[in-house]
Amino acid sequence: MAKKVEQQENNEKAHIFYRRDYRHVNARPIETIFLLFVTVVPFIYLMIEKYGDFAYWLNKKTVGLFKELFGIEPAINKVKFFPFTAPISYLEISGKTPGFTACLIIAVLSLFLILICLQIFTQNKPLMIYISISLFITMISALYFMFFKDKFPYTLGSYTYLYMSQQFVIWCMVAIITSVSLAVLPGIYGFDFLTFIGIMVYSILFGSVRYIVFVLGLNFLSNLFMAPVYFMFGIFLDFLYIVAIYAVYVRKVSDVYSKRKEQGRWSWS
Amino acid sequence: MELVIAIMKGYFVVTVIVMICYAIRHYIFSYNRMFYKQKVSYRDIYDSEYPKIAVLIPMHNEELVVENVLESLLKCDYDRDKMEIIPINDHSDDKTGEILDKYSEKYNFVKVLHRNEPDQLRGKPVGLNEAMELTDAEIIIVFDADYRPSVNMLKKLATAFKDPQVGAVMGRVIPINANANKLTTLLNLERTGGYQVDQQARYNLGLIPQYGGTVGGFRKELLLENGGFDTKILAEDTELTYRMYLKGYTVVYDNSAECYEEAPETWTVRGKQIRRWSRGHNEVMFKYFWKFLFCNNISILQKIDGIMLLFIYFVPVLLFIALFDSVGLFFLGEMNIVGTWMAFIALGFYNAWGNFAPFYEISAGAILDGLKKEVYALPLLSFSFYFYMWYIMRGFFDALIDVFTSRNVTWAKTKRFKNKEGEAK
Repeated sequence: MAKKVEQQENNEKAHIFYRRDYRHVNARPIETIFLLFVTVVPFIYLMIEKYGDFAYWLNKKTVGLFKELFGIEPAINKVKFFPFTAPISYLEISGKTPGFTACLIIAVLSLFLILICLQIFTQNKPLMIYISISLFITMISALYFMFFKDKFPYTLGSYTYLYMSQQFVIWCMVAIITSVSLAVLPGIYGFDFLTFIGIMVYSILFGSVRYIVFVLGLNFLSNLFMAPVYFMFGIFLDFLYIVAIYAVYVRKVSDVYSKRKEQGRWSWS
Repeated sequence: MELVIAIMKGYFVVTVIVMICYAIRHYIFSYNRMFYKQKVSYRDIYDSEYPKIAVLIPMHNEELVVENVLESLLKCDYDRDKMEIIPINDHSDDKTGEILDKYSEKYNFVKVLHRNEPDQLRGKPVGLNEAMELTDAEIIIVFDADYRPSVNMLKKLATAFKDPQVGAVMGRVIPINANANKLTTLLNLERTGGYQVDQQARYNLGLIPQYGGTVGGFRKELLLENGGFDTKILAEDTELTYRMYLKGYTVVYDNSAECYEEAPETWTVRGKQIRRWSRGHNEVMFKYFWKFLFCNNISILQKIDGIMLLFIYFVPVLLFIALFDSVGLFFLGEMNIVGTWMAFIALGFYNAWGNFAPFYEISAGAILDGLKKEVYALPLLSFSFYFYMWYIMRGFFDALIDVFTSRNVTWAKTKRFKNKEGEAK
């Protein structure tokens, strides 16, 4: 029996090493469709059914923190944003508008920091350029509040409304992009599903914590920082952790497919 | 004011559509490369008379690396009676010329072209044009000075020219210093996505694999009958790709023809390189867009792919403008449209520059190559993209100035980091 197993192992495709030039994995259309089906469809269904409740719960927590930190209790309003979901909750709060002097200081400081980033810290140019763009947007915001303060289109409350309504769309898009990005790689049964779950759980946690931090932070600082936090610490940062968790999956797949047992899965040309 | 807002919204929507198109294009490439049969480059031709080739190596102050490339070429298994090596010493003021003369004295098939006259036009395209006139070889192979071809590289590149429809052949470029630092790790990932997946998939699908100007070859006569390389264009390689297709020839990509390059090890050097490449590529875009669009030699899918390839170095410019367009829309109270579709703009920021490969395409390449811990650098693509976006913008404006002023391009080379023994400087 042992000899038979050994013979069988010797005949296995697992012994063949496939060079990287033209090797590929056989397509798995059924598993791919199944993966897309069991990830995206239930998640979007869950979002449609439960997002209204989740948004209300998140705003309740935020109001609790407002009471603790600032001694105020903003009202929670609801409005129907999507026809197929429950109404979305948001806070009734105006937020702080900065004075002229504060805006001027922030604008000058931003410009000064941009010059420092680009001229002095040259070893890590990519990060410096990213920070410089963030500071540039801050500077634009400060100049806007200096000269067009009354034309600013958002209160902190309307910002919470827009954040909550867009987060619904963003989380759905993250689910679709994640699932589709996983489908283009060879799979490890179950691990791809776990990766999807990991990314979505992190996305929801991170998005929720970020919402609370943004709203509390903007109430403490002022509405001047709405634009920079939205653009440079919003959706762009979402993709950072999506790609980071995705990279863990890619590493795992690469490890598994390098092992002798998985060499049987490769095909040539 | 309403018109301004409408234009800004329109621009944002157009950029989102462009990003979706590129995302789909690269998804198709990734899926094709990972799961389908691969088109192998002329492997069935193994017993044939090889054509006479001339290996051209443009050089400017390459004393640090010149011996590496020559020694590698001397080890190649191509018949020396059918091979010439023509290093082009373009106005070097270091020891490049001396080193080349030593090789020329020792080997009769190494013929150095010294270009030292002060009033001569400088640059890779003009050097290549002059060198092509010196040889009777039918196939020209070009290497950059810091490249190290493998032993069977020349045969692999030359074989495809047995097919009369092949105008140019391109091999695969692999950084030899991939583990030097974070930058070279990211460059290795970019190259993996660009060659292992992007180029191979385009070859599989019969689209437009790109001739890269090094680790590749082309038919000399095709170029000379139109006056050689255009000396006003910095990206002579991209120009050659489009010229070939317009004439009805094809470019072959050989994923097994691996050659090793020295990737830039500092961001400053990389930035200059990117700016130069952006300038050259956008020059080609300005020159060939309409010609390519209305050419009858090309299928509709090749046209779509070719045009998307032409705009590769323009898309980061679009994204940069889109970022500030969306900031503008934000301040005008139009956050609804911005927020809802921002994910697709953000997706663009996780692309490798160059071939604009998204993170999933690079990941597919990493698995095919068996890369392991290098993939953890994937999230850093975003920060490097901001860096590239900045330098690509500058290169784009350089190209615009070139178009309006018709100025000549001058030599621009990448700083080298290794000496003869491969030690880091």
